[in-house]
Amino acid sequence: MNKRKWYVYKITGMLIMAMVISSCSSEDEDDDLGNWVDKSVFDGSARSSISGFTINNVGYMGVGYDGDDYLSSFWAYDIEGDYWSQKADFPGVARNAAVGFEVDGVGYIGSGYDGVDELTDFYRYNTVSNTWTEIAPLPTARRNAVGFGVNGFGYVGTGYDGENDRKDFWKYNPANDTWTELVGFGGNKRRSATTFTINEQVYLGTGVSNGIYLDDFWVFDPTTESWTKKLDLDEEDEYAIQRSNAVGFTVNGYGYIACGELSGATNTVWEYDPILDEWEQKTSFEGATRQDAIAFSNGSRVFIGMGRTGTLYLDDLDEFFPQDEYEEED
Amino acid sequence: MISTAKYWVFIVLFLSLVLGYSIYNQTFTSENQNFHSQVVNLNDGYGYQIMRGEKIVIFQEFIPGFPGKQKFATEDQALKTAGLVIAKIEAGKSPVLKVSDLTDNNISTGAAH
Repeated sequence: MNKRKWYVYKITGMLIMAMVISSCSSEDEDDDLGNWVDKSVFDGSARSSISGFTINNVGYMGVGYDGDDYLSSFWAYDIEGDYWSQKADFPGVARNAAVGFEVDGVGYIGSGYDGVDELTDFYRYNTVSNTWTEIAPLPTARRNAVGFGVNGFGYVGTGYDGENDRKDFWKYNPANDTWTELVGFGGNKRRSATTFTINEQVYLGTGVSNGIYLDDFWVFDPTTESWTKKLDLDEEDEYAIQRSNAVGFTVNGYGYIACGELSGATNTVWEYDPILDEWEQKTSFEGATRQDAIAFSNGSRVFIGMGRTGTLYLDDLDEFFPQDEYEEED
Repeated sequence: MISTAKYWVFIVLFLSLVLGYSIYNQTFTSENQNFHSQVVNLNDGYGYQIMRGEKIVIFQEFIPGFPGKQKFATEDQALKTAGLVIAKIEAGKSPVLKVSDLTDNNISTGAAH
């Protein structure tokens, strides 16, 4: 009888230990900082290779491809209210792989691919009047370029023109509606690269050309319009930052490169410290691995969503808290 | 023998607690998750919001897809348009409204507003 009792206690003890271990291990195995919170009470409009910009506390996203059609609808996500609104349709031909950026409170979307041709046409969006206006076209057509607005000007560069990957950059002046070529980018030609802007300095990296994921990393100073090479993305053995079709964003003075494509969709996230010129891995994106997603950031909060994993087009949105401990349950 | 009985009582209590908690969680999350709409009176016209439970998921101050700040002329048109969006969401489709969706349903745009 004693022996039986002993067995009962032994089994109970083992069960409790197994439960304690299994509930702890899922939290302990990942030491990287960063927490993800699923915002999708409602799923938005599934699409990838979308374009957009964030102005004040509203993220704007539109165009893209949903697996069947190239899209022209355009949506706004209210960061404070956590709701969407469908805005005025993008007036150009439906497309994906366009660029989007903001200059002085005005949004811009242009270039891209309509399923047949790479495009040059460009439009600006007025958030107050909810209207689009066509502006001067980009001098050379391309898709999967990078675009950013800084210091009162818009910049578009790299990408794919239908035959070749590109390394040229163009500067848009809203005051006289003209594009001028900007020389001096020392990096290789590429498509599907990523940028983020910290304190009016624009960082550019990643991307792919002829099947090679590029490892160089650059910073653009808009006051001198010069590019400076930074630490390579594979400088340290543990760095695994190289990829294409990622999203780049800035939160509280740090830059981030997240998700993307590296022989398949990836969900890893890296944080860049501009003072140390060093990278640190963060908690991977919690939702489905994805490429060609979008990030809305107002500088202190960031939301990542949409995109695709293989041929599955995604519509969910997650908020990222880079300095928080990871919690599975939110 | 008595302690073995105690053991079983403990196990049964523990399992029922776990079961109870998971059922409670289930009902809590699936409660009131249906989509519904509310018309919003904007003084010189109407808009709508799509709700899921108590939460606003789409707020539409102006007619979707159209440039400018065109509001719905009547409460009925706002309600009808919101119904189209809910039908799309419930059918598992994208909630995007196209120009044709609105004209097919006689929603007037480009009106006096």
